[in-house]
Amino acid sequence: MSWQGKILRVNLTSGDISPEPLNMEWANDYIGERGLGTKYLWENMDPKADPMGPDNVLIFATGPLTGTGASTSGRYAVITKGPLTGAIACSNSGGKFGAELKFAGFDLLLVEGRSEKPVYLLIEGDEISLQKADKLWGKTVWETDEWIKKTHHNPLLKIATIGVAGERGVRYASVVNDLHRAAGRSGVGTVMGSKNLKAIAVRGTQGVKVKDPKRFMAVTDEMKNLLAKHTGGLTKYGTNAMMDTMQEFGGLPTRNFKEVQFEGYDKVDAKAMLKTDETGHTNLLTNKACFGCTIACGRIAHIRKDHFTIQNRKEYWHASGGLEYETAFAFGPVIGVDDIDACTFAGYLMNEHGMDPISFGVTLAAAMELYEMGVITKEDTDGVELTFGNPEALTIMAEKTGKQEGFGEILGLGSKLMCEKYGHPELSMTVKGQEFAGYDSRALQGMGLGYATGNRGACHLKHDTFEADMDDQTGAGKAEPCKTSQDWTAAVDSSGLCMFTMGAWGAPEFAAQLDADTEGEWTAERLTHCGERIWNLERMFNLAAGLTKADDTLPPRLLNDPAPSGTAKGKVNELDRMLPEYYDLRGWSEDGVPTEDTLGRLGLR
Amino acid sequence: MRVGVKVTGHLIDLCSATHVDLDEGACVDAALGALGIPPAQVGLVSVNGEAVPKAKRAEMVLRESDEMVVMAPLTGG
Repeated sequence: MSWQGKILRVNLTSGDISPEPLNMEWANDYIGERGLGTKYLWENMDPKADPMGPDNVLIFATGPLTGTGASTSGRYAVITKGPLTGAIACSNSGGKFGAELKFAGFDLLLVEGRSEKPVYLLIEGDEISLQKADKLWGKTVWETDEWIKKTHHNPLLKIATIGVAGERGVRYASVVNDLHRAAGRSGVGTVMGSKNLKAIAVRGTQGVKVKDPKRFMAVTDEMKNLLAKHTGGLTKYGTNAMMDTMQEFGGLPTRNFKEVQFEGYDKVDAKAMLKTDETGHTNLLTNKACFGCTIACGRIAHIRKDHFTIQNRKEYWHASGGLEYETAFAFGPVIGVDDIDACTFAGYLMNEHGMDPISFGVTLAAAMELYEMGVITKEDTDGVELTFGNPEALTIMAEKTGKQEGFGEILGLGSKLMCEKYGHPELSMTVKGQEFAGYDSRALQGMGLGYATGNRGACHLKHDTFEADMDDQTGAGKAEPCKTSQDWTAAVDSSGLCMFTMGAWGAPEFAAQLDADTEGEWTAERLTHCGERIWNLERMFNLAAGLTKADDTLPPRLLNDPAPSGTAKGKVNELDRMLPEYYDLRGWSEDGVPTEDTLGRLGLR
Repeated sequence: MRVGVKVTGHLIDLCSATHVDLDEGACVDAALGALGIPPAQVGLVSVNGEAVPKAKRAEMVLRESDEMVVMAPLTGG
């Protein structure tokens, strides 16, 4: 029932806009959001297509629980073929945009072709049109949001947009919605820019209907209470509460993963954000929730006005999105910077220009290592001292990359292409071309397996092996939790809810909410089976795109260079031990290809 | 005996102690109990930089001046 039963197909080449009925057979098999988007992608494009070409398809998909009264129900996903990896890309986001798309009556928005000139899509109730975006091209995310609302005299529009980075082909450009929430990873904004689609602005008034309102209210109320018992730490400290744990554990990637502990961690962690300095300034102002969320892990921060980054730039003297763990890692330890205001400012710039902080930070880390090796010099870096620990290098390069100026054009290639360009591919800390998140896989073995087998490249969000990894730092017994959690995360990502609920809710809790919400009988078993189907369809997309077993690997640094300190001191990642067991558990051949039996079991033949 | 204590993440709200006084022969589980930290809220304990797996917490005996770190579970993000 809380599927709206309708998708919107937009052909940018012809300008045609056509609503279509949702394929309910696919919705029943792939749930929504990530899964349903993957199915629509698979059926609507050739996986071999150029990710930056008109034949790539860009999908914005909601889940059956998006926009309902369930906690964390603001999620939507962007699914496409990724420009960093040549693999399937799926990046999801919170905020309010996803729910608004649902309120406009659409489960999914499918964009194909390429517009000759820049446009944005405007959905205001039943009025849907492509509008000229000449005046928006070259504008930042924040300027675009303001301009569209003013132009249409509608402050209630919810806007997902790219910044200049997406227009100019930064390989890891993001789609930013509601000013500072983002479908950040895998270059989904780059694909949007390649289609000359600047933004999607939507205002919906239809609401959503659930299958059994009384049961839905009772179940979601119970789930909110359960969530509150488990997520208080996230509310108070945000995700950056993990920084000191990673430090003590010895899994905090530092200076391009040469080290696993960072001496300045406590200057950029969650407690540092809460600390009031000698001038009375506190980095963190408040927390913020996405649509329907009862956790509110989002951070709202501000920067000291006398800090070098903004002292002469009053336009940044406002509050904005603050540091999450991944941004703190990517602008802190991995480049050796311990200046919380510089890190916060770089975070602003990511949202303003529309870039993935993880990919930018890890690419900058590789550039710093190249600089310290003498492979690149000040002549390459526009005179900037690109050394580890230099906060000015961070903020200067973040702006240059966002605007695609000078050395920023090189950083915009991503770590893989940049390191290949300079003859040192081994320094690129990536899988399939996508940069690692803030977990070193010599300390977290299962994380390494999850990275290596990630369908969108290195990613910490598509599996959950933390418990197994913390309890044992060898490769033993990691294949099973990796495979199981990949399948389960695929189901959660397809529901319309946030994965931060997974610490409180297991499959029965998700199934109970979905069953009260949506037609059909939803059980934990069915959800898990759908998740496995989704994971395997993503794999089939990648195999059809030309990826192979050889892409399921880790950089030599993690496989050969022992962790220099921490609880995993002396260990390397044991991928060779885990990968065959993983393929076997998946029902894949030794070459990582799903067998006919597996495809048949999952209904994928 | 006295054992040094450090906690990470949100566990700081459960325990602000910098040390714990224990009987000779006390194990890691006993220390967690004395500190009032529920085992379910612990991701990993290390003693003097060495990881102590869950199954070993009841048998790992602490000694005077050991440094114990109690880490919050990781959740991604």
